[in-house]
Amino acid sequence: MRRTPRLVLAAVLLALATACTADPAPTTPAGGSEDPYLRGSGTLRVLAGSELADLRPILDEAREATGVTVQLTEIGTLDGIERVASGAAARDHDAIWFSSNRYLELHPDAGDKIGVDAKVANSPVVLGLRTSTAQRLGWDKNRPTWSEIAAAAGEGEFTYGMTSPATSNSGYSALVGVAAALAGTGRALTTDEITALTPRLQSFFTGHALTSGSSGWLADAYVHRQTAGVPLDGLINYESVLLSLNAGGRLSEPLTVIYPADGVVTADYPLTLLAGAGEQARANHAAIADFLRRPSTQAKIMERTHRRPAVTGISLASDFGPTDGGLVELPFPTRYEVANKLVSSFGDTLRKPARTIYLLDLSGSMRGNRLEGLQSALLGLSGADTSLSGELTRFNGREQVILVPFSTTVQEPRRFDVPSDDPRPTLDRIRADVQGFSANGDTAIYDALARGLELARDLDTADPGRFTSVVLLTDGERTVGRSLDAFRSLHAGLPATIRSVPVFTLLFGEGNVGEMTEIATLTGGRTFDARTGSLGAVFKEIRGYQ
Amino acid sequence: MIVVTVLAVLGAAVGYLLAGSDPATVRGVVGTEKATFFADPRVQEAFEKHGLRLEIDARGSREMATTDALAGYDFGFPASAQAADSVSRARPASGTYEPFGSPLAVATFTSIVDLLAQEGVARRGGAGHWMLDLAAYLDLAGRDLRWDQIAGNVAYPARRDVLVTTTHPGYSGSAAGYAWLAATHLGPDGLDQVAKLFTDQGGLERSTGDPFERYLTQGLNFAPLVLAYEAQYIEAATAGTLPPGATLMYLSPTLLSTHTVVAFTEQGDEVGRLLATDPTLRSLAAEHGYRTGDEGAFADVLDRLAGAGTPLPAQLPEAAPAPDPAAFEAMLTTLDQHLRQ
Repeated sequence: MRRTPRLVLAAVLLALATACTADPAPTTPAGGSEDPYLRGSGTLRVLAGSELADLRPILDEAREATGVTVQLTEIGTLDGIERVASGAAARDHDAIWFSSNRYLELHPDAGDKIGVDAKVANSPVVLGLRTSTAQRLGWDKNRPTWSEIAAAAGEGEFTYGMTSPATSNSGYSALVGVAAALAGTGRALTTDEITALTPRLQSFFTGHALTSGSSGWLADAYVHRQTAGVPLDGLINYESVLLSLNAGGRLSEPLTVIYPADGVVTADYPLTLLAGAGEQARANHAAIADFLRRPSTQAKIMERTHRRPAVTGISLASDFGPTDGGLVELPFPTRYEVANKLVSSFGDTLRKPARTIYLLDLSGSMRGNRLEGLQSALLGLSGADTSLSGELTRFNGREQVILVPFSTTVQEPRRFDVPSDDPRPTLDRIRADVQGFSANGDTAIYDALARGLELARDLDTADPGRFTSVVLLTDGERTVGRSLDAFRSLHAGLPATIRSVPVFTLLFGEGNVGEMTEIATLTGGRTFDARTGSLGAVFKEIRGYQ
Repeated sequence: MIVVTVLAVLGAAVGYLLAGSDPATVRGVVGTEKATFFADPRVQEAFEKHGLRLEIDARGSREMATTDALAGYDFGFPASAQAADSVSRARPASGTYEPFGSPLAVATFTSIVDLLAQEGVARRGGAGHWMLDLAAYLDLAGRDLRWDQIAGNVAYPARRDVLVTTTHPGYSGSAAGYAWLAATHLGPDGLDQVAKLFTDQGGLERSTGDPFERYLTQGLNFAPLVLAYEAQYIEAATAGTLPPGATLMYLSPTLLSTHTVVAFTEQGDEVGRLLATDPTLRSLAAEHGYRTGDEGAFADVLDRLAGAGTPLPAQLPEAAPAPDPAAFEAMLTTLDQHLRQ
């Protein structure tokens, strides 16, 4: 028998001591009617989707209440699945927290890797359109079906931003929802049905004008496009993200949230313990789960993050719709290969094809490990990485890949048009080109950027139906050529559509963090930190934004 | 506030010291449907009177049946005798206890039952309760009928198949019981159709507590038909948390799920014994909607129940015989292969 009277006495003394100090940790909820908080100690290490970042303030309160610090490590959907299924996640984390485990649970190796879970909230993936666009389409009054939404997008009636299904759960859920609804069978999708749906899904993705690896950046980029004078008509994302944008005061025109009449896919945010977690981790998970699921916290999560409660007894806030009719839940795939086929089809056949311009610093300082890292990253994207996330983030069929190496001068761009059928020979040519890289000379960063954007302008004029984006990798300061100021004035003179081509800058080596951040901000891109992890991982992460 | 807290801690501590000791911590893993029972402060108090403080994790009744998942617990408490059999094969038991049971049922809405009655799939039982005619339902599911194809359906005109929403039969006892009932009716050649009852639904949860919680919080938006234990429904009716228009249908025939404690340690045995014999715990179990074998006590619970939305039978509705554990496991193994194809 584990009887411990001495510990109780110690606890009393500790409670007395705590009461005498200035800042006692609360042990009972302020409301008074709820049970005392469960206590844990130390850190709960959680591998999490980027969508959960807005719950950090709630987690700070959880630490006060439970003594447990929740440490979130952000990771993309497929990377997360892969790390859990291979067992790698359990080596350095105690739990996972994505907006849904449904894709993960289909992985044949995932079943025995995950333990108890606690569902924390709900939020459906829906369409948000600028009020004027919603009114023009009549969708503020009559709820359209996904078929009607797809048809209108195909006819150019509206444009929208949506995250990448390969890296973000909201994009994946949106793809599942629209595919299930268009199939219209009333049942979970099969692989044959996905093939048959291709023309209608392509029509739907005609309107897809902004992509992103994470929900948070998608919202920021939406605001940036509005400010830059090339606004989109809307976003497909969690209801919580759309309502938070409306409440955030950054929009010149609010979004009307449209609940498709034939249904939605809903996230349920399960905080899930990994199998094999230790005693302390289990206790910490239980304490955090108890905190997050008690009514007082659920009400806060609803008020602050616009997610719907996971537990009973909380009245829904009035901003949740729809005001008439139901919100049917669409079926998620039940087979792993169907889930994968959706993502690979998205890249190779469904999405608007990408034009990805890589500006690559091959100056003398890149010699050695840095150059090898860069080569390995690009070889990975050209088919050398055979992991699930590698397969689903490689250069896609129909994609235009342009490599622009630079050092003292900017080299002639090498353009590769990857065909949908038999991409292998083209990918081989990319690999041969990358293997021939050698590093020498100075660093003409802004000459390269100018060249990259001029190239984007010329190619976009000839072939406008693509997502164009630029990646800039440099490991040092500009040493020759144009200055940042000169680039800034060149940028200001570009047409609006090219001004909004995002430049994704890597923080790497001795690169200038301030300037890389400024370029990203100026162009509506973002920075990616490659100073610690591998270039390969960062290049894969960037794929979600291209 | 602080002073109050300290006094409370002091008071509790003095109480324990006077009683000679602090309650011993006993760790159990239980089917999610019983999480609310164990979270009831009166249940905790009843155990503390016997010197036991329970720490409970909740997960799927079949999912818990692995050596790793059971490590560190004093007892497992799956939702059925068959799942208990798997649990005791994964970790040798020092004792098993069958304190109460609950029949499989479908949590739904009156507007939905009316549609199913119109289709000849739902009918009233002798006590006025609703029953889902399994044979008629399986016939209808086999025809892939969609809700929007039912004439005059304004309640739920969704372009979705008429299917009961369940958990995954590989992880969860309720879905395994439902699969057994369907397989028994459809016979040896019907396993493809049994598999289709699951694969057509879309993603499946791992434990019965989860879909039922979404039934309570999201109502008809989540699903029109949700497989549950009768006890979950009664518990929610008692707590006043049923969604508007809620009602319950019993599978006909249903399966009585015998919730079974599998003890691994002396304290685990103590928990099993107390659940089976302690009058307070037995009456609390009845209050949480479980059938303890005392029909009178259960009838009292039903009498006091306001707002269940429908009459519930004090007497157990027509139930299929308890499955033979070996045949049950064999069916699930084959079904699992179908589901992974």
